[in-house]
Amino acid sequence: MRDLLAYDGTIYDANCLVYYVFYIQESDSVGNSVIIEGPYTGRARRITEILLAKRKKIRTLRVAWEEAEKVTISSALKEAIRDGSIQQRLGLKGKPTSMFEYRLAGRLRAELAGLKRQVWLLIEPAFVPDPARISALKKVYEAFCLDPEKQKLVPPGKGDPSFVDLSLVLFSSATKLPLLTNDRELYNFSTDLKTMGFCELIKAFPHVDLHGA
Amino acid sequence: MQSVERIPDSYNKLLIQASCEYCLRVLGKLCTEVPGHRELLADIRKLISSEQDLLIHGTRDQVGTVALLNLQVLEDRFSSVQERSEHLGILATIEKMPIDQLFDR
Repeated sequence: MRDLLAYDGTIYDANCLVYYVFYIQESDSVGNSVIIEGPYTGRARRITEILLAKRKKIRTLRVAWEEAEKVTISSALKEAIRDGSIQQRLGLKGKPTSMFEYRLAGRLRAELAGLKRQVWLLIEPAFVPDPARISALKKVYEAFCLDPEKQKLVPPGKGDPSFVDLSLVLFSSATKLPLLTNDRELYNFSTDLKTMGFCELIKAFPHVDLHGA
Repeated sequence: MQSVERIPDSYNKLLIQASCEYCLRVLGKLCTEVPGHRELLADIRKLISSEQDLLIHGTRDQVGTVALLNLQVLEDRFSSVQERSEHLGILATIEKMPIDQLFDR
């Protein structure tokens, strides 16, 4: 945590934003109110609380925000449904319909919209990464994939970083702020990318030491 | 980290699936004697027509993925179907449906 606290702010990727808001109230099968919480919500909230207590700002890009709204909410929800934790909390054993998933996705979108109104969150609307830098960064990842040692750091089934991911990395470089992410393909190469001048710091969300504040 | 194109699930896909499923349920419960059923059917036709337009033209001519399309029109039309259906006493909106009705038993 200390490395994040050394800066004025931290950049969150779409996953971190969704982890933070994944806390919704529902009624179970007998009408009792239950809280449905994402597996990483506690950690995301704790990290954010620590940063805010030290008056740090949270920043993100508009494209990352849109990714959270359009894609990450739904994929996080699907994952929680797939592992059965939501059905267990609600006391229902049947197969959830798409209407159920849509209802929860709508609630998560509302929570995300609430987050947008927080004064400590700054969504950068205008940052456009230099196309030449994006191309250079893509080439670096192509080189990683051809290097037998670096290849091992790319999680199985993952391809090249998306445009949003590359933009966040370059935003870290432009603002001189750390990027907090749960994407291994990004944080596994933090040192390489920093050495090459593509980022300030890429911090692994699961590795943040919550006791080292 | 995957590019958006490769991610199988998106809010937009959920919206399309849920709206189709909701319309099917409404049609299953609808009987022609209900006053206002013509308006409801017209709303459903508009919704389905929007879905066709967006899926056919949107994905072909624009960005190529459902996830990235702007489906605000579809969302508005789906809200209209839900409100009218609730008003006619045929089916509650998804937001108000008891949780056990949202699971297949």
